[in-house]
Amino acid sequence: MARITVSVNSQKLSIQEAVSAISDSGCGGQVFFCGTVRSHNKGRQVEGIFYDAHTSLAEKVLSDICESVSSGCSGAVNIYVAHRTGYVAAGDASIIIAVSSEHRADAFKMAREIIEEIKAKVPVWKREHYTDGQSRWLEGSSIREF
Amino acid sequence: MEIKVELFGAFSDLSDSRAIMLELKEGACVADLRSELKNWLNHNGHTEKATLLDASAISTADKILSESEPLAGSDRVAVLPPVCGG
Repeated sequence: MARITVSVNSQKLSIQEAVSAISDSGCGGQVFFCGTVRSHNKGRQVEGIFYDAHTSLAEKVLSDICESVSSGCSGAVNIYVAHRTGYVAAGDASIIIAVSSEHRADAFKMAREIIEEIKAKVPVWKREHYTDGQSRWLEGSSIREF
Repeated sequence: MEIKVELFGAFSDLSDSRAIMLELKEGACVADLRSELKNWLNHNGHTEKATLLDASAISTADKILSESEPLAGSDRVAVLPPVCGG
């Protein structure tokens, strides 16, 4: 069974916290992904991004994603995901994903799957703020159930 | 019955309190709420948001609701536009 730690809040992200959360002497591979706010998007200079989130649902969906992604892995698995809310300046971290597993291939695979699932399913929204003072909500993926 | 609808993402611009109250008939379901919300958006000149609503989910605190899900007067629901985390 995987040990899973998720959080969605306005606290500054800590790579040390991620390291501690997935530390496991039974695992031979650790993978860390850190997503940061890019200073440009589609030809516009980005000052920062405001992240809005439905926190309770986002944490549940995140947990479900981690459970699902790790279900195909038979050995030890530890997963840590922390997602920022609020304003994040360009260059700062908006998300950290850390995975440890017995073998490196599983850790790489799970980390990649988790970030792709997050982008498609977790109720988080971005309002991009530009250096010219304008801002706009970014488009995303529909999670409506039909 | 009165339902509190919490607003997220692009919908949060609609109200400083990030929520609106909608009056629905007893026994109303999510599809009824969606219809009433769409009327409210169009009536108040938010036609772009009314279009965005078609691609948006309706949820409680911990799950996405299907269109046929019944609602109760004490319910707090959220309208969730297309997501883009990460």
